[in-house]
Parts: sequence; structure tokens; C-alpha cells
Amino acid sequence: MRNHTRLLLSLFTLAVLSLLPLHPAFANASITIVNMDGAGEGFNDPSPADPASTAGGNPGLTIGQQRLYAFQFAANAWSQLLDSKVPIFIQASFDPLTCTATSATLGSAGAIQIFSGFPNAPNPNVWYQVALANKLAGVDLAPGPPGSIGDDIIARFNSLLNGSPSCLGGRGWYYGTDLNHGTNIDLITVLLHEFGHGLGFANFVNELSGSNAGPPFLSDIFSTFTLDISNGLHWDVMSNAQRAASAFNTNRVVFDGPTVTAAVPGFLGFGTPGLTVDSPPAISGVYRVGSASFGPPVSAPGVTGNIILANDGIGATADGCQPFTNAAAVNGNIALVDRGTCTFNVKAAQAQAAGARAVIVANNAPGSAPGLGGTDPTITIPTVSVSQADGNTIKAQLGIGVHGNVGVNMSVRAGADPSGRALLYAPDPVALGSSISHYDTIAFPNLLMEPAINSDLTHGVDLTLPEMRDIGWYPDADLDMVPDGEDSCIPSNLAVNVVVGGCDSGVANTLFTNGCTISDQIAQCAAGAGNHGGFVSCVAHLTNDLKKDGTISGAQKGSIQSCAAGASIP
Amino acid sequence: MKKQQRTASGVLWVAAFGAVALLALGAGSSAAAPAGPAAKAPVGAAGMQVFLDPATGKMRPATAQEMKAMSDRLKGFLSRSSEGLKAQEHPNGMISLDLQGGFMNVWVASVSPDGKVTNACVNNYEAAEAILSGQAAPAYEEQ
Repeated sequence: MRNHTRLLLSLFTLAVLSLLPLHPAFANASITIVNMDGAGEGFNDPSPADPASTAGGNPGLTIGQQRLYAFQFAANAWSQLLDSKVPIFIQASFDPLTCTATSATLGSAGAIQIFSGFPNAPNPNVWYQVALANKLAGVDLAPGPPGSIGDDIIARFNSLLNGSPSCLGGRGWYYGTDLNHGTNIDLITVLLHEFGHGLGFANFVNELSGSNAGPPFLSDIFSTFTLDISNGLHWDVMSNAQRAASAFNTNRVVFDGPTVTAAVPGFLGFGTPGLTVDSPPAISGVYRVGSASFGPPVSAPGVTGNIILANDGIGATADGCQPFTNAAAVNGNIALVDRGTCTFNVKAAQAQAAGARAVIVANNAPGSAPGLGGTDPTITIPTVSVSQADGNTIKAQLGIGVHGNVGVNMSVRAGADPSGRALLYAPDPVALGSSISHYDTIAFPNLLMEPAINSDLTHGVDLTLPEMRDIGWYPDADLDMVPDGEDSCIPSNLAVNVVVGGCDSGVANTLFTNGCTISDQIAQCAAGAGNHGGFVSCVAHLTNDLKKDGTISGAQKGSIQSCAAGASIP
Repeated sequence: MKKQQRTASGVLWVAAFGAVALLALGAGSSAAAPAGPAAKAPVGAAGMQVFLDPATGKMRPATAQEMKAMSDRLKGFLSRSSEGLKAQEHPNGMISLDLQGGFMNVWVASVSPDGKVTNACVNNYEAAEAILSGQAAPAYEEQ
């Protein structure tokens, strides 16, 4: 049995929460932080507040209070953007998690339960995070007291990260709200990201095996928008083997929800570094490249030419470690060399000596295109890498000639595919982690749901909110469960009964599919009537129509009309 | 008693932290030293797990038991196995699945010798371990 007194917000908390930004008039998801920590620890840690965080806008008087303030700050940021008539509860705690002087687990979060087949489920055959399922159902599908399985999201963060050199080299949490975290970890940014996972930016797939969560082994709402452009299949219709293969299909997995795609131009700039193959058509497209630490960076318009496989005539002839024997063919074109035998800058130097204008290093092992290290100030041509799979694709077509460009493709947005859909992170191998349930790291400007915290992030939610819209977090300012775009009455009068001028008619206040209730329509009569007679006449017409279509009975019509007649309206 | 504790500690290090643990143990030489790694190394040594002592409120090396608990906890967060999950069928046809604390996304971070911090939100234990042990692939390779 949990001590419920621990779950209650302290007076301090109530005080500081009152200082947080108020919800806008029609922002309606209530998100509550459920303090799961015991006395003297975590959110209840009585240690003096972090002065830098205090200066950064966190009014907490103790570390525990500052932690709670930061949590509620992040929760409020989401609550101002999402609408749900069912309150959201986040079970939160600060616990000792793994930490050494050089590494640390910062924290974790995710949904507590997932649901399918609930009332009003847009897709009854896939899993939804419980908070989203509640919103769509309009009722709490998992009722229970705070601190129980009835909550929606669980978030645990590392209490050891306190500035001690023993933990992550002295880096600690920054609890301020002004992003001035210096070398510390900005807790609010991490929380916005992690809450995003808990609210819906995540699948429930084991990316190593491709299996869905279960039983029953259903797909999830995120996967219905996860598209592999190589085979044109969404993850929800793939076999386990197809999903497992797609999970590391770098540069070819997108989130194709219409709201995200429409929002991409507003968040991602043009310019994707890459290898753009324009012929033969069978392999045309933009290939992900790794950059080099030597030579000039790729740029626009880049280097265009035929792609020619190097031949140095010795051993592995395509490794480009010796002077090329096919320099005449390479001259003026783009050299393709295999990784291995010698350093990357040696390969680049040999290609440059052969007259190449750019170099592509094909990986010699499975995995993503590697970053090319090394130094050589004499190299003046750009060098990039491609994955082994992409290298093989190109080599297979060299017999008929491959033509392309090494550079920054200014027609493709950074973080999107050529069709303008947001790329999901699909590193090769999958064991690199973070797969699919994040936006691709190539995105620029950086996004909240990339798998790493970038220093240029603000406390915004950028392309994450459109993703939430696509999976079902539709705007519903008046919480009548009619999307704002289809709602003719915002805000609606959602009283249980039709009440006219203080007179309770006893008639149920029916909500129609256009988002208007009977009370809304009577209010429209009041607003449009020049005098009381006009109002009564309007209500009479309205109730006659409602009786005609079977919404109300004759007696109910009389009750509403009687109330209208007796009301002092206008 | 003390010797048993040292042995258990070494085993857990290897299990939980792979290569880094081996480095911390000095490829076996430290394991043969009079004191176990948790007791010998100063607080803050690279690779050493720390713990906030609830009694003193100060950092100290984590015990084998504490290390195991933390490692198990991390594995639990990152479990994406359906083993042990049991769906509940409701009268209205709805199905719910308690994820038992798994299917989480976890932020991990490490600091390289030059002070550069690598951080990532990961969803499998192998990835978390790679970053925590400093074995994540470098951004640039030479050859």
C-alpha cells in the first residue's frame, strides 16, 4: 500500500506551480506529476537548491523542489499543446541509476500500458499508448489511484547526477528553464523528449527481431505511419523479418503521416549532403554519406561526373592504396574505392593524383557509412563514404555506367526524403539503438526527437507535435471529442441537460457530429433574436426539427419550449 | 567472507560492463590484488560505479549488490521482449497490455578523455552498454 501522503503536492509545489505559465483558454490536457519518491530522496531531497538553476528561473528552494518544478514545467509544455478530457498522470522518481566518472544513465520513460480495440479507436487493431487511448475513448480506460497502474507514463531519472566528479565527470542536472545549462544536462529538454515517447512518439517493436509487443502481437499506431520507401510497405503490414530488415535501412524509412509531411517545410531546411545518383534510373536516388575530417567538406553544387571504380593493380585492386592503373578513366570523374588495407586519406591522395574530382569510399563491412578520419592538408577534393550495401548497389551497375553528384543536394531537405517526408533514424546495425522511434540525426535544424540532445534545441516540440496529431492527438479545444477542424461550436456548452435561462428542461443535452449541442443551438437562437418573441420562435423551430429527426420526444420538446418561453432572453 | 565479496564483485563487473569492466580490473591483475575493485579504487575512478549512500548522503563506490540492482533495473527498462507480458481482455472487447516497466527509452551518456559528452536515447540494452562502457563507435575512423 503506497503512502498517499507522498503523492500529494506540497504547499511549496502548489505555490511554485502557480508561477508556471497558465494554460491558454482552451488548452486542455491536464498532466500531473505523481511523486513516487520516499522521504528525503528524489523529489523530496532537502539539499539546498542549485544556485545556477535558481538563477535560471527555477524557484525551488531545495534540489527536490527544483526537480519537481522542472518536471511540471515540461509537463505543462505538453499540456498546453494536447487536448484530452482524461487527465494524464506521470509516475516520476529520481533513483540511483548506473553512474561512473565517465558514464551515466540519465533517465528513462515510456508508457505504462498500451490498449487496442477500445471505444472510438480509429484503428481497432493496433496498440495505442494509454494516454492517447484515453483521449480517443473519452474515458479513463485504466482507472486507479495516483501511483498505481492506472497512471499513464513512468519516468525515472538518475539522482546520482548531482555534480559529483564521481558521476559523469562532475556534470549534473540543470533544472533552470532558460537553457543556460553550460556543461550540465538540461533536464527540461530531456523530459520533453521522454514525455514525447510516453505520449506517442514510439513503437512497440523489438527492432532486433521485428516482433510486435503482445500477445496478442499487434502492430501499433506509430508503425502504421512508418514507411520503408524501398519496398513501399508500412511497418504494420510487414512480417517480422521485413521489419527487422527495415530497422537498419538507413535513409529509407520515413514517417508519412500527412500532418508531419505538411509540417516538414516549416522545420527542415534545404540541403542534404549525399551522393545523388541520376543514372541508371534503376538505382537513382540520394544515398547517405559519411563525411571526412580531411579535404574540403561537400558543398553545393558539388562534383558531378561518372563514378569509376579504382584499380591500383595490386592485391585488392579497388582499395585505392597504390597509384591507379586506370587514371585515364578516373581523371575528371568521381573515384570509387573500397575501404581497407590503408588509411582513408591515402586513398583520397591516390585518387586525387589520378585526377579524380571527388572520392567515394565504400565500406567493406555491414554498417552505416563511416566517418572518415585522418589528416592530409594536401587533399583538395571532397571525400565521402557510403555503406557496403550502397557501394555494392553502385558497383553492380558500373558495367552500364553510373553518373551522379557528390555534394549537398539543395532540392532535398535535411532530414527528409526526396518526397519531403520526415526520415526516421535507422542506424546500421540496429544494436546502435534508438532505431525508428526517433527522427533521423541528419535533420537540420535539429529536432527534439532526434536520439541525442543537441545544444541548439530550445524547449519547443517542433515536428513532434505534428506526429502527435497524426497518431490521434487531434486538437479539441472544448473537449467535446469533435476535432476542432470539424467543430462548428467552440466552445460547446456541454452541460448534461438543456438549461434555458436557469430553467432545467430535464432534456439530455445531445452533442451532434458537427460539435454543437442542443444548448449551443439554443444559444445561437438567443444571439440571433431581436426580441423575446424571436427567441421563442427560433427555439420552437429548433425543437420541432429535433423532434422530427427523433432526437427528442414531444414531451421533451414541450419542456424546452416552456423553459424558453419563461426565460428572460434576450 | 571478504574474499567472497570481491569475487562476486568482479563477476558482476564483467557481466554488467563488459570491456570497460575488464579495463577497470586491469585485465586480471587488479582482480588478484588484495582488495576488490569496488573497495580499492578511489571514488571517481573511470569505470567505477558509484552510489549515493542513504546513510551519509555521500557518494561511495557501489557494492556488488547495488551494481547488480542498477544493471538489472536498466535491463528491465530496455526489455523489448514480450515474455511474461499478459494481455487483459475486457468485457467490451478492448485489450490492454501492461508493459511491466519495459519498452522504455533510456538516455545514456558518456564522457571521452577529451571531455566530450556523447549522449543518446536508446531502446536496447546493447546500445546502452556500448555507450556506458565507452565502446560506442567513434564518429571518425582512420582506416
